Amino acid sequence: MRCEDLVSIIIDYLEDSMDPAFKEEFERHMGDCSSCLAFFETYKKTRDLTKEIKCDDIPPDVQDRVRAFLKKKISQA
Amino acid sequence: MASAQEARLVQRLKDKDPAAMDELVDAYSGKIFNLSIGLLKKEEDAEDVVQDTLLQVFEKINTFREEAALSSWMYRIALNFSYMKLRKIKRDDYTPLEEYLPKFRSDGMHSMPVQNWAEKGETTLLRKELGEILKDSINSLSEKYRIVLQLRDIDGFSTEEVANITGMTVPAVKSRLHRARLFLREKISTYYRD
Repeated sequence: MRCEDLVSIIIDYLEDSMDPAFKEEFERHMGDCSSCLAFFETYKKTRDLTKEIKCDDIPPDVQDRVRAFLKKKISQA
Repeated sequence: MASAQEARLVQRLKDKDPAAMDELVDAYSGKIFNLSIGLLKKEEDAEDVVQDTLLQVFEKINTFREEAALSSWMYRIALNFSYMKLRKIKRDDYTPLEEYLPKFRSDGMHSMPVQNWAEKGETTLLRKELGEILKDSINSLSEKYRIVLQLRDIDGFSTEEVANITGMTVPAVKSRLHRARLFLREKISTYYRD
């Protein structure tokens, strides 16, 4: 397995959707290649940091207008 | 929202319970707003999408097939309304991803040693700073990458659910998600190098 091959299938490894034979080769390459191990760990860390992103709350005045709009539409129905 | 709770909400919406609509607004207006403002950038456009989406959910709830998740169905509606508005907006300020993708030699090996910044400890302040870098970077992505990244990594849908919401195949979702993550990884790597 080349480094370029490993990078292209990292997502399958993390999603646990990799063929077992490929998985073994993937893990063996990471054991032999410090750059690929570093790449994998920084890729995984990026994903984990992204998961921590908190979306901004909807502005209260927007939510109030949405509520009022829906009440009006429903009462007209 | 847990699926049993969601199922109860669906039934109450079908029964036209007015309090169910309030619950729908509380539970989902924020998420739909975040999804659409990421694409449309303007608050008033995102507000329109929230209104149109929730109204359509209420009006068409009897057509909802309960083998799917309510949230997936709702996000699909929101995405369609967002895309309709997006067609009228011309955006050309997206960051092209290619220069941020990893480089390899002709033999397929990394062209440079890779720094493992994942090993470094972080202070709370650094973690916050990294979060801001990620947010800015995500905002610079074109919608085709931003949508799958938001749905999968931020909103927590499975790859299959993202495929269902966007109408893409699972391989296409994975391909776009992977490229978006590679871009973000390189953005953080650049921060650590500088």
